[in-house]
Amino acid sequence: MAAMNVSRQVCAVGIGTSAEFAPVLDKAPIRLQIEAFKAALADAGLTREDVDGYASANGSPGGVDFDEFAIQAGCGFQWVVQNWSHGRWTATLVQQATLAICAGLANCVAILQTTTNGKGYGRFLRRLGEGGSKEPFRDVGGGHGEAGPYGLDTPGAATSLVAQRYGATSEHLAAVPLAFRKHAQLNPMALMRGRSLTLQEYLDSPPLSGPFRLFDYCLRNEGATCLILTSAERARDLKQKPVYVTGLQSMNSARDDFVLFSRPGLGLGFTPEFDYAPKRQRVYDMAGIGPEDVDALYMYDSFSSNLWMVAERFGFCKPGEAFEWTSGGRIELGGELPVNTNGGLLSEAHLSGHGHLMEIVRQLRGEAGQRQVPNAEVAQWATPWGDSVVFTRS
Amino acid sequence: MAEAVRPAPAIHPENEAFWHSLREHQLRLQFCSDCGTPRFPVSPVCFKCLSDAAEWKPVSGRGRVVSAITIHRATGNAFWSTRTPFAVGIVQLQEGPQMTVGLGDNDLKAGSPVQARFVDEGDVTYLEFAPI
Repeated sequence: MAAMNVSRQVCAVGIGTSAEFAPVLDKAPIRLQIEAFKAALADAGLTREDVDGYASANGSPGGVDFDEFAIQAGCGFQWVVQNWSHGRWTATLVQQATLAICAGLANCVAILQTTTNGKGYGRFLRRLGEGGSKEPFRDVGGGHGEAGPYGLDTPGAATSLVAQRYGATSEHLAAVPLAFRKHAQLNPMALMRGRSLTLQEYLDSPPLSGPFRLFDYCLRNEGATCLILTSAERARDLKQKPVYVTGLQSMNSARDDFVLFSRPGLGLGFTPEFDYAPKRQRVYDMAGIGPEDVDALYMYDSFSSNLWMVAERFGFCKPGEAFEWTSGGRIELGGELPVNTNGGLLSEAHLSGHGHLMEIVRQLRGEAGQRQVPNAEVAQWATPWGDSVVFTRS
Repeated sequence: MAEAVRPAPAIHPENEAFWHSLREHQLRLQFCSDCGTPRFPVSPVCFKCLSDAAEWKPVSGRGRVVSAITIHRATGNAFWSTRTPFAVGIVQLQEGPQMTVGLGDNDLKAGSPVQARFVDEGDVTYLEFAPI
């Protein structure tokens, strides 16, 4: 059987978020999720009855299950899928929804994500499953390289071991949070809007773990997003300018290729160091482009050094050179490759990467206001662990 | 306030031989009975040849640091706030396998030679690497 062609068959036709993102919103996850759903329906010019597929990023903590959503929002779905809310499944949700539409299992899918946190609404939901990640205590440790019995029990601490592998200075590392903080000043939804950051302020903040300072860590907050996908054929008749799903690539998982916030070859996890030779990533073959064609890059920036891993894995620069490549304004609006123009997890909000998907759609519609990348045609979502989606304007 | 207790690993029949070896102040790893590959982490099969058969054998406990950090502010389990600053790193053993583990010295750097030592804490013994 020949592989099904899924490139440019499906489009993003609606985006919506909760009315705001904030450290504490005091709204139940279901309330936030319905807010985002209604906003996306209005944006797309669709009704609830048009949506027959539901894909959920569930968790963070006690998120919304597919059946809860259907019961409370009065929906009827013929296709549902529910993945974990971590950013490792963000591209996967887009892939699953795209495949379902291409295979005729669903006509129109809403991808929903809701984040709460333990200091916010999560404090009422402990019985529904909060209690910290158990991953660091697996025999293989946590997915980010955590080792719970030794106090390396958070993704941030584990990722600082990755950053430590580079001969980078604090100024090199600072270039990433400073760029995203600048972008956030132009984003009305960003938590860090109105709170600019200087290099001196960054350097004056003490290291917390390895080379990481406060500003190298993502935000913790509450908020919801909704992305609506349908077939390209149907999208042409809808209200908004369609944004095409043009390239897809799954995450990699292998003994020498899976420490979440790293790239292969660095000697993390259980695999000794080796010379990493990046190969052309399949997402570009499906999209019929190369990294040089990307107008704006969106990546999972739970920690600042994650951008180094993305840049090297996807071939934006050579292995070991990313810490220099990200300096000098290249990744800022107006630079050669603007990255995370929404402000990212570091300065907009932590929405498991779904906030980035909202921004990609705005950019490719040409509706990103002051932070619009001129003539943006191609935007890429990518993660340090290798999954990716390429979106295009045509 | 109750005294914070070090979060212990889940020790169960599949991994207990490893933790028992530390309890006896010896580092033992599984070696594949068919191809000789040392296994870490604990696994029911060899990751190279998928053989089930393995023997637990002592290893030298000598290795070198691959990456090391000092944690100044612990944001996970509250116990670790009582220990800051403390060091953690990745150590590659002379026999090949590498592990993410506690370091007994905040000044260790990538490349430093280290030796295993054993830290008894409550019912569990933890591995830690210190400068030779």
